[in-house]
Amino acid sequence: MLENILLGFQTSLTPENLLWCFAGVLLGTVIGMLPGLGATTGVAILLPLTLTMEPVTALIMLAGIYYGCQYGGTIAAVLIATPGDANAVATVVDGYALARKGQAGKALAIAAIGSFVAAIASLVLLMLVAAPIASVALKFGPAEMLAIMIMGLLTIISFSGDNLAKGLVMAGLGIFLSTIGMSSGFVEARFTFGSINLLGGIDFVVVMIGVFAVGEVVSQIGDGGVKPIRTRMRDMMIRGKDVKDSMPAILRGSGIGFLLGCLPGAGSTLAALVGYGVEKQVSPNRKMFGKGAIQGVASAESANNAAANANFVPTLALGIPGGTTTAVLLGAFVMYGIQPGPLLFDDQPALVWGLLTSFFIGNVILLVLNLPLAPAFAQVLRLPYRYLYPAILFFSMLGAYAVQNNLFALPVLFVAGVAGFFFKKFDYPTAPLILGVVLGPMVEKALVQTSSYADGDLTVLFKEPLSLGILILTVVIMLVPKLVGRFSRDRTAEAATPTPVA
Amino acid sequence: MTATAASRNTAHRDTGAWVMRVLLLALGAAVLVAGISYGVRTPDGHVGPGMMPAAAGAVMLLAGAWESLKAFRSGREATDGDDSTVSSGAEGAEDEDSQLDVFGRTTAQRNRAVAVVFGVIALGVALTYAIGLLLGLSLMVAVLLTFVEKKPLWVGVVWGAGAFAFGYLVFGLALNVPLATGALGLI
Repeated sequence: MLENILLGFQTSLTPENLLWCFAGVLLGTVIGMLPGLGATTGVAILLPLTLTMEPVTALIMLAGIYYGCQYGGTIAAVLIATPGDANAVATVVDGYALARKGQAGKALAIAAIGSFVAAIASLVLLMLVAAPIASVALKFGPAEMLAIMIMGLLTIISFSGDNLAKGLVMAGLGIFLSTIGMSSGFVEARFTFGSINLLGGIDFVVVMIGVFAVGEVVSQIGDGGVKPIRTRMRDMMIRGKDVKDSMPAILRGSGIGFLLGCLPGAGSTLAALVGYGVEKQVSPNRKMFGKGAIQGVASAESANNAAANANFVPTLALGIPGGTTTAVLLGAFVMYGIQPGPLLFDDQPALVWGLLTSFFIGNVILLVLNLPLAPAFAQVLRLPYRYLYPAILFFSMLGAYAVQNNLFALPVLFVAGVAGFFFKKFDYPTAPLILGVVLGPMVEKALVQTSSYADGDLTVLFKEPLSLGILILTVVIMLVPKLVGRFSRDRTAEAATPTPVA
Repeated sequence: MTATAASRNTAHRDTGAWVMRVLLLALGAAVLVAGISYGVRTPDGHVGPGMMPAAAGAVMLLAGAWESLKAFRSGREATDGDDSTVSSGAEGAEDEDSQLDVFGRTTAQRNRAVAVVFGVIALGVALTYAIGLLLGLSLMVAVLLTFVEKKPLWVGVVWGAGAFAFGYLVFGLALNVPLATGALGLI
C-alpha cells in the first residue's frame, strides 16, 4: 500500500500533472458555480480538450473538475439559492438562509472546511477499500462480470429519480443508442440506414455534450435566474466556535457520504440529502434547521464530498460508475484505451494511484483557493448569462466536433440537445440515458462472453453462486437507499418549509 | 396573464408530455421489432446481434406503457377532482408567469427565446457545412447576441470574433484539430 501511495505521489507531483490538477479544480470551481452546468456537463464539455494529453494527466484534470465542482456548487447554492451542481441541493436550505442573515461568508467557509475534511477522510477510506474489492473481483468469470454490469445498470436506474418507469425508458434509450453501428462481437451493422457516418456508432461524448451542455444551457434560458447576494472578504472570517460546533456534523456527514457513495448509483445528491436528514435528527441545534443552521451546511457539504470520492470505489474497482459524472469519467477511460475494472489496479498502478493521490493535492488547492477567494469566485455569478451561454454553446459544439473531427457530430449534438431539453422539461432523468450509452457496449460484450462460456445458456447467471449473490446484492442495494432517501427527503422538506427568514 | 391563458399553458404542457410518451413508445416498439429482425439468437443458440436492441426496445416499450398508464390514471384523478383545485392551480401559474427573471423577461418571453435559440443553433450547424466550422459557429455566437439578446451589433461582432480567435488558437493551433472548412473552403 505504502509503495503504491509513493508511486502515486511520484506521478501526481510532476509539474505537468500539478498544473493540470490546478487547472481542473479551478475550472471545476467556476463551472460548479454556474447554474445549468455542473460537474457532468463540465467534464463532458472539456473531455475533448484532453485528447492530446497523457491519460493520467487527462484523468487528473477531469477528476479535478469533478470535485472542484462540489466546492463551486456550494457558492451558488449559498448566494443565489440555486445549486450550481445538483449535489449542493441540500446546502441551499440553510446556506441561503444564513446568506440572507448576512452570514454567507460563514456558510461558505464551513462548507469549504467540511468539504476538505470529508474529502481527506473519504480518500483514506477509498485507498483502503478499492484495491481489496478489485482483487476479489479479479476472480470473477464472465457470468459474474455480466451480473456486475447488470448491477451497475439497475442500481443507477433506480436512484435516478422518483419515477422508476421514466428511468427505465431512458436506460433503454441509452442502450439502444449504444447498439447503433458495427458491434465488436458481430459482423452486422445495426440501425445505420446505409449511412457511413453511423457505421462507427454514435459517440457517447457527443451525446453527453448534447444532453448535458446544450440541453441544460437552453433549459436555463427558459428558467431565468435570481440576483446573487454579495459577500465580502471580511465576512469570510469564522469563529473557532463555529468550526467546533460543526465538526460532529462534518464527521457524521463524511461517514454517511462515504457509505452511500460506495454504492453504485447512489451518487452525491442522495448522500447530501441523507446526511442533512440525519443531522436534523441528531443535532443539538436541530430547531434552527431550515432557518440557518451552520450544521445543516456542514453535514450536507461533507456528505456530498465524501460521496463524490467514494463514487470512485465501484468505478475503479469494478468498472461500474458510482454516479453520473463517474459514468462520464468511465467513458473517458474507454476513450483513452484503458479498460476500467478490477485489472486496472494491477495493469495501471501509476495511473490509478496517481489519480488517487492527486485528489489529496487537489483538495488542498481547493481549500487554499476557497477559504480566502470565495468572494472573488462569486463575482463570476455577476456575469450575465446572456453573454455566457453563446460561449458555452460555441465551446460545446467545437468540442463535439473535435472528438472525431467529423462535422456529423454537430447534427447529432443538436438532436441530443433538443432531446435533452425536452427530457428536462418533462422530468425524464438523463443519468440512466448516459449510463446506458456508456455501459451498453460493456454489457453486450459480457453477454456474448457469458453466452460462449455457457454455450448459449444465460440461466448460468442464476446457477453460479457468485453471480446469483451479486444479483441478490443488487436488489438489496436498490432497495436500501431508496427507503433511506425517501425518509431523508421527508425530513429535508420539513426543514425547508418553516417560516421565512427575516 | 388570465386564468384561461394559464390553464391553456397547462394543457399545452400535458399535450407535450403525451407527445413525448407516444414518441418514446413508438421508438421502443421500432427498436424491439428491428432487434428481433437482426436475430436475438444465432442459429447455434448463442447471443445474436439483435438481443441487446430487442431488450432495449422491450424495456422502453414496457416501462413507457407503465409510465403512460400512471400518467393517464393521475390525469383522470385530477379531472375528477373539484374545480377549486383547478382554479388555484391557474392562479399559481398566473403568479409564476408574471414573475420576471434577472433580465426582466417574462415566462412567455423566455419560452420564445428557447425556440429561437434552438433555431439559431440549427442554422449554425447547417452553416458549418457551407462556410466551415469556425466561421459558422462564430456567426452563430454573433447572431445570438445581436438578434436574440438584442445587444448592439458591435458586441455581437466582438463576441463572435473572440470566439473565432479562441477556437482557432486552442483547437486549431494548440490541439492540432483539423478544422472543417465547409463546401466553400474558406477558413
